[in-house]
Amino acid sequence: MFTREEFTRLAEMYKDAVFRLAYSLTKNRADADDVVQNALLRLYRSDKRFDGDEHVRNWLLRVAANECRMLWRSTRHRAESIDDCADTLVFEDRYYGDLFRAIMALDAKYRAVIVLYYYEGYAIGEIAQILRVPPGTVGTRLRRARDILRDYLTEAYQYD
Amino acid sequence: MTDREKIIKALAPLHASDTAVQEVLEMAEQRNNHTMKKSGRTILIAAVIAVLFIGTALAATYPSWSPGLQRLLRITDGELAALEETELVSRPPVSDTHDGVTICLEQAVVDGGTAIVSLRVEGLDVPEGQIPVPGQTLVTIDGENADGWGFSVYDDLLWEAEGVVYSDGTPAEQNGDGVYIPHAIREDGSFEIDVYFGGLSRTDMLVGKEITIVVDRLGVAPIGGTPNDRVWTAEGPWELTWTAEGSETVREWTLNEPLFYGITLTGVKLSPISLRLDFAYPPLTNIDGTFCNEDGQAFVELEPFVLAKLVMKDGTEYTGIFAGGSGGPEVDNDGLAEPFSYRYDRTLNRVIDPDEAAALVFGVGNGPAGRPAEYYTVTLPD
Repeated sequence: MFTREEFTRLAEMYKDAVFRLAYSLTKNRADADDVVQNALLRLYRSDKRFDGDEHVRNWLLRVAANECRMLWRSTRHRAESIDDCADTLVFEDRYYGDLFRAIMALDAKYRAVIVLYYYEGYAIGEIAQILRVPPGTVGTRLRRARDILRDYLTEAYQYD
Repeated sequence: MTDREKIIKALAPLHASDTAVQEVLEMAEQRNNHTMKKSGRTILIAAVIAVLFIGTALAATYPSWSPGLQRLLRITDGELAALEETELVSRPPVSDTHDGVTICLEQAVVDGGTAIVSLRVEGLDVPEGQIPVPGQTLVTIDGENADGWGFSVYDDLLWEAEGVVYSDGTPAEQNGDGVYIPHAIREDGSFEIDVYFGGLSRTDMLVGKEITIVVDRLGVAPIGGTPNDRVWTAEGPWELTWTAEGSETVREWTLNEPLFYGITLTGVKLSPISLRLDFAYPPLTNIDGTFCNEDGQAFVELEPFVLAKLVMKDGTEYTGIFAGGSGGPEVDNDGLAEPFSYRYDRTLNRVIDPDEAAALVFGVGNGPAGRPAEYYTVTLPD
């Protein structure tokens, strides 16, 4: 188990990453907050041996993805309006607000890979581990997400 | 600007609550009154209530446990909540419907080498005096057949030393032929099928693999009937495929422990519900139909021992916890002229903490009352 100080350091470092993934999967801030809380609580109570900070981050995101899957089965889960959410956020430019809405309009399975690949910087194989899907599926989802977001994403790409 | 930079700027405003970490610390560190704040709704669980109703109250805040899995793994009501917090338990949302009958995956307990899964079956009509029966079944791991899978319809019959009872403790009823009457059908008309299988010989880590369970048809049979009495009433196949989630917790020991009959224990790998042992075997030859080592000691079978106990650091001794499994390599009628490696894989019928394992006790020979004549204790170092 972690000391209070070590847990606090890790939790502060990774809580936003967990929230972003949870929000991308649930589209509900309250549910995303719950997922963050549950994931961090499990980290606090865990007696698992971690091989460094990156291992903790990967573990937290796997836990978060699993928590979101359980939420989907819950009748209390409801996605909220993206416009309502976006209106509460401050973007550097209107363009990024539009891109945010476009990403959140994607199906959940596409949103998650976009967040993990582009924002969190994970490789295909690592995303496959977190989301518990085959690597080929991750590649397919990234390609389809990019196709939908083609008005915003302009680079030529090759997913390994 | 790169696509990555654009997406980072688009998603950067998403933040967790500034107080998220502090709230978690307060929850975790409060010992008497546990307050869980869930997006404005506060659920108060008092320590006194938790002590009095720990199984019922805490279980009520978690998805219910499959009674079959609870029985298979001998999990007490007090342990359910703690297990829910581990990675061992998952509830992948997979289901399939054919012929008006839906099979969904209710719960899975998975570690590196073993999976125990409960399936919920809805929509099959089971008349009074009959029991549901599954047809042909198949389990694959990444497309290959799993090891020794078993299916059973949960019947709510517990075979205790004092007799056979239902899970509520009442004595089990018997029909006119003395057959215990199962209570397989739940109040909502559904029933449970428990599936257990190992992947130990296929892969070093079951977690992350693609699992498929197939049931080709379902039917009913009279209680106490024979396979010929089965009547198939719903055609599938129902196919459930998911990527296994579970516990990757494993503890491994590399050893060089001479045991008996020239056998040396070279490795132990222990997970919450799986065990693997690796041995170095001496050369064996077939003498008058019996395999013997160089000293002429007879191997009645390739596992001339029983794994009698798993001893934990706190002194707890588990006996009879080693369920199904496999061993290899196969030895032909001539035996094997050179020393060889032998692998022994077993699933456990208990959930254990591998870090708390202290020793394994092996038994060999035929002693009084059917017990081994000798015991060998192997200490598992910290």
